[in-house]
Amino acid sequence: CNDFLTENPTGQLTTGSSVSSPEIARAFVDGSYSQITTFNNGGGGWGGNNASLVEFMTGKADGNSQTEAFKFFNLEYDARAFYVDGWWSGMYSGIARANLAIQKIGEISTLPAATKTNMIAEARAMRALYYFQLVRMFGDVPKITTLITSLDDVQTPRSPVKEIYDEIIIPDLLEAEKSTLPWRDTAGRMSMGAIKALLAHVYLTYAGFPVSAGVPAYTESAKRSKEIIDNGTYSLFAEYTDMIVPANRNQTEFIFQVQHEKDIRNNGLTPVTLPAFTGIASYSDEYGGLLPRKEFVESFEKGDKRAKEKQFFYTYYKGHPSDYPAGDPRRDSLNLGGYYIYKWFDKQAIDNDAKANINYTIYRYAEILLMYAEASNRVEGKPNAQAQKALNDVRKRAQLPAVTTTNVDEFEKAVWAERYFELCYEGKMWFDMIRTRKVRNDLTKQWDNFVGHKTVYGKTFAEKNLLLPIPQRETDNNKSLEQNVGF
Amino acid sequence: PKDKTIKGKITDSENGSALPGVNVIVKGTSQGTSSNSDGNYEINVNDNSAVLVFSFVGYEKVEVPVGDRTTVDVTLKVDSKSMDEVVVIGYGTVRKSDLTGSVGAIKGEKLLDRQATNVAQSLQGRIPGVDVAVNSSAPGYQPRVRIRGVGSINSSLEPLYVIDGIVGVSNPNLLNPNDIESLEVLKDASATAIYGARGANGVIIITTKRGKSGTTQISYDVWGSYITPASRLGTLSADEFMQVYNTAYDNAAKFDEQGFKDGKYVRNLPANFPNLFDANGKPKYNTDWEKEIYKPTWAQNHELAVRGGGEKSAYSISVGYTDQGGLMRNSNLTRYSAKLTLDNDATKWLKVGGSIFINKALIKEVDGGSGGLNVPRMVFEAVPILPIKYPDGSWGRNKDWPGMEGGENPVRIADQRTQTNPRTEILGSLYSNIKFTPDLSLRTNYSYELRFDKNNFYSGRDLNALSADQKGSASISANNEFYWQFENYFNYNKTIGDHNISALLGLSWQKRSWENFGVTAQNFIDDFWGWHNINVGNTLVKPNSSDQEWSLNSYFGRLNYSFKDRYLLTFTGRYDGASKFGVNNKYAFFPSAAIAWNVTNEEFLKSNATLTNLKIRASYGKTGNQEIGQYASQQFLGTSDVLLGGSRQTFVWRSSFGNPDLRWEYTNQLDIGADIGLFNNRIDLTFDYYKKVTKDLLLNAPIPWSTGLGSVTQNIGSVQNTGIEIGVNSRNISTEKFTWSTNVAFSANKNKILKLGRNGDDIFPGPNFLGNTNILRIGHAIGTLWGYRRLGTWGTAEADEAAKYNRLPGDLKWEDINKDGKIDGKDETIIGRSYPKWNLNVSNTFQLGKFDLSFDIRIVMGVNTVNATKHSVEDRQAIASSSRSVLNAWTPENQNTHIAQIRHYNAGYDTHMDDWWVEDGSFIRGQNIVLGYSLPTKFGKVNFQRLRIYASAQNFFLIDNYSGYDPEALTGFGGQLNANMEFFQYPRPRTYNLGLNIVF
Repeated sequence: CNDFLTENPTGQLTTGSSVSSPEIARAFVDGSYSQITTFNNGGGGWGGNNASLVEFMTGKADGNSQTEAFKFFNLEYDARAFYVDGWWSGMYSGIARANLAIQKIGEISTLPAATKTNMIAEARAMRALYYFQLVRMFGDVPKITTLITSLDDVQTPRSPVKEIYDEIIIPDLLEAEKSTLPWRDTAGRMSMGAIKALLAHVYLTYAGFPVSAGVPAYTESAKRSKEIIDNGTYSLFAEYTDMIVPANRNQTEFIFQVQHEKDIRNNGLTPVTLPAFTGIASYSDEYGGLLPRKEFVESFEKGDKRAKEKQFFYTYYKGHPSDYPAGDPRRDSLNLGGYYIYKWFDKQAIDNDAKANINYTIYRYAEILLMYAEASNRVEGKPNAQAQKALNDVRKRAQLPAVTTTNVDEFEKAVWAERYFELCYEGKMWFDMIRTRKVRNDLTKQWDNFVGHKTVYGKTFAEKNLLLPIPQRETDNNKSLEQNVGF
Repeated sequence: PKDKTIKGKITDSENGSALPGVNVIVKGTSQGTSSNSDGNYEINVNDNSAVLVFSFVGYEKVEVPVGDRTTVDVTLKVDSKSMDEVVVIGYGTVRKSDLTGSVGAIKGEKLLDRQATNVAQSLQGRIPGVDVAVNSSAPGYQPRVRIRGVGSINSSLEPLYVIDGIVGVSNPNLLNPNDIESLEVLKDASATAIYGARGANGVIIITTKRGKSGTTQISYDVWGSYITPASRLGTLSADEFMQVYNTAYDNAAKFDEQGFKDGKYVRNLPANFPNLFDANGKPKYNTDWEKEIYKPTWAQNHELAVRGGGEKSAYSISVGYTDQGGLMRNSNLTRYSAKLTLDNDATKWLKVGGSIFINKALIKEVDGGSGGLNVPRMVFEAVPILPIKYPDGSWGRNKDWPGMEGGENPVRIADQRTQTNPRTEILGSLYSNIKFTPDLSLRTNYSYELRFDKNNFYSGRDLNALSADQKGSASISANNEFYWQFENYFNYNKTIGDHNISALLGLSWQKRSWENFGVTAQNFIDDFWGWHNINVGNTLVKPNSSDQEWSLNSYFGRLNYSFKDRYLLTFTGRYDGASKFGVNNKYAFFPSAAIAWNVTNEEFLKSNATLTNLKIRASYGKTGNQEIGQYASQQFLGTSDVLLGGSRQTFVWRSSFGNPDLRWEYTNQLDIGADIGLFNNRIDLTFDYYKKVTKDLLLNAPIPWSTGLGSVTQNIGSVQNTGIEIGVNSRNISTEKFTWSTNVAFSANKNKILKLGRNGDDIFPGPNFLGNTNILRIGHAIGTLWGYRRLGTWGTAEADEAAKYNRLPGDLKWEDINKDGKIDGKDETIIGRSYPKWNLNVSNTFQLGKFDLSFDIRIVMGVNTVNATKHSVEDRQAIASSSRSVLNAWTPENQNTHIAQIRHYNAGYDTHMDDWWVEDGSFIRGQNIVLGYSLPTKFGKVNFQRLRIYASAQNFFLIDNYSGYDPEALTGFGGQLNANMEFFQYPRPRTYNLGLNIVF
């Protein structure tokens, strides 16, 4: 009676199923993109979002109390805190999907060699992206590059950060760089532009803390950003608000983005960044889940266009007609009592249908310019003309005067500051603090050492804050893991 | 010889009271009748040589030759071995005195004391060790039944239901309680091992009524109920709401100084809202949403049955109708049922028969969407200064008072958001019984269950926070299910001298398969179509479908041996193979053994007048649990979709880790018990002690996320349940005029986790309401609650201490358990238990002449209920209305309180599962009280066997300390390990009924 008891699942493949079509190869590769949603989705509490974690850590952002923002800016977070789980599990889930893709595509013999190379390039670049996020958040992490199938093999110990860079992130990207992927991919998949951007960023980070590889890494970084600049595929938008126009998704300045489409998966960060319960939007929930600190916004250089109303921030908006009766003056203009982030303000969604149709950006051209400025300055010991132009192109859009210094340190600090202003709340500031171990003080406008820096919340960063705790659940279930110091 | 009519009265020999319902048969024929409620009978016999046989459960059988008499009065003696009632066990029956296992039995008529619409409700409190808790008082919800504690973590905890031999019926509550002949609960391993792999949670065997040869019985049972809320919690009045609202804005200055200065807190001024306030600034409306939503309602139930039979065949037909309203506006249940049974003696050696049961139900539910701004939540969060509708006909909504979270008024939700759940269930069975010799027979049955469930849902276009963002949302899902079993078993029964042997040997195949699909559409141009024409929705959400099946192949046997009716032995075994398990572990064997000693049958006790029955029993055995999902051993590559290029792209990913070594979860159970009868069995006592250890627990055990997956079903873990059960059945007073009997069922269970996961670490099984709420920890019970300890609020004198925690006087004060100067995950601790320490049910029945009165008191002690509702109605203000408890919030004058100072939501609000939410969930409930009167049985020419009217009330009182509606609660959290946790529960009704039973 063995047949009677044999399971024949009809709705799902198993790891043993043999598959061979080019379409299914594509489906394996697309699986490696699926966890990119972790970047601006999920998170604990009402109004929580994974993207908020690294902003809360900087001490330059706030949230509502259910997001538990206070745990982070008060530096009271622990291994059970919100978001830590989401990032860890999200990235490793992405890695597992990339690993599966790499293995399965290798097995499908019907694919033309070039297609196969490009598909594997996509999966490896995605794997590198996930690992890059992990090492910067958690430090040493388990190194997993194959499909784990036996329960005896699940408890992988941590490998040093440098080993993850040297044996996974960098080789994956270098291999991907050899592919023939196009410079731009408007579908949201990996492109040569995205791979070079990742390499530029990975090497820039590798040059700094904790690996501190220095000039050789700066050199590799500058080489990639220069290639992107010289290639000419990408350019800056004329207006900041061009970035919140749905038609501009994956275009012009945007290099790599998390994809959103209003009727399929709209951008959840839009309602998260709305002021809580003010009734300005068609959204049922206005979360107030991620908002800027006033001190940061007011530390922008005088005249910076980005700090002006409805560029990167806003302080008033009209009350929504469904919330305010006709005749109530708030229907025309409502003082929001502070600054709110305008970077995910999809006007159409907010006024009408509550379905944000704009993407979340992982890399855009402005950052490439700034990475080139920073890396080449270090390689050459002073900013070259192209580096100066790169920085000043970003400043020009902000209607700020050009930076003229040729002093290596002064130029570097100018670039760092520019990164804060240009890329604020885009998941960059915290990682810049970690790799440079410097923090721009919003009150003194000076650069403090990371350790010892006192935030506007009156809390002081310590050595332990350089790394996030590994989720408690993970250390519980993997006895070979050692928790980061201090947690 | 000519026909003549015999009349007579049947009475109890002990107290002379009339005995209704006694079977009277003319010996050797199929002619028969039964006595009416006065104990009178009438029967025709052919001649004077006829012999009448009088039999009645619990009484000795009497045969009386008629002779030339026309009146034959009979007194029946209580059978001193009244234990000799027959008890149904798996694949057979046994005399109660021969029973070696622990089996609780209840007769159908007893179930009818209460106006229950389902089986589980009528079982509540009846049998020690059977814990029935009502999940929700919404019509159509299935109660939760647990036998002897909680023995599993990831597998189902529901007992196995066997209805007329159909094993594993998925919805026993489809039965109308009127249709039940008897109900048996198999508790120990000796009784349950015959169901092997499916017996570990206990087995409930239901036998439905069938026709009896030689009689015809027509019965009609009807009752109607008035259902009214048992309690009201009250909501804030318009004036109180305004007071809280204004205080919240005033206090924002204290808790968010900067934001206040920046102008973040601009309150609404009544003068700007002439539609809500009069010229003096007084609210125009004062809506009590609780009263608008929870209203008294009605229920009715009818059952009409004809049961009878000729010499060689018997039949029964019954039809039923139930219409039960819910307290919540627009919620209700309607059910139609029909049942047909047929039993035939085809030849001397062959008996064939079958049954078919059809049930059609429609459940209308409006309280769905727990956690969101659903109806029960908006009852407390809708703002009282709003009307249901404005004079112009438009609906009031929280958004009309800017700054509110934006839920809709609950009346509107109840009208515009509906879920209907039509169900059709068909249970059928065909059997044959072949008698090879008087001792040996073979029974074969083919049975099936068909289920068609559909779920239709629509939520309107304008329902803010529910479906306004989608411009209306409709979904339809359907499930088709088919189960069949094919079983063959031999029965052998032989008495040789003092030895009696009965044996059973059989084999069985079972398979359950189902197919389902679902589709959702959004963006409707009008609410007109609802879910009825889903095509109108302009946005199609990806549809889904799936099909699954599982199968079991089993071999089973049982051997009973008794010597001189004193020493009894039972061996049971079942060898089960299941598709659900890994290729390496498909089959397993589940044996059990039991011994019993009928001490009263020994010479030295034979004539003892006090101790009239004493049986000591012991059993030990192994049963299994296979109730995990299908395909858990498989390594699946699932599909899902990712958004690329502006559209959905299917992708493939590793969706399950798979475990080819997956095997049965099994329970070893020891049971020691005694059945004691005192004073001619006027007092019956049953006592059981059990110890159940469940091993190889099927645990959805977490694995490191670094594998890319979260968990895998593994056989790791062990849990122990120990307990005692006491049942007392006492006829306190028994005279011709008056009887009083008492029935007590007591049980106590202690649950302990012995082993957990690979490393023995704590597991937090969810439901994760703002963090962990429950913990699984070695040494502690399943259902242990987890969170902070709330000490109260910070006082003005503690301002400095509070500042260390970034808190101000008036903020919540939680215990810093590890004293590290901050409140975080390390300060979470065990704060309660969600399964009771013991429960007790006492029922008393009185009979005075034609009146009968009975009442049941149910007591549940040593349990907590989590009132998570406090999270939103007590912990936050100014974005919704609050519960009345905020009127006791912290103020400088009222510092001794557990409720934080009122402030605007945005000014900082603390909320976390803590021991303030965890309340005492113990209660004493007046479960049921019924007063009946049996009318004279003759009206003109119509002779009734029974004609009784009665009035009853259920949940007629409740004594508890719980701040919500009812401590027996569960909402929305689904999981089976987090009993007793509620977030805006559906209130419990008090029910008054009037009913009539007619049998003729």
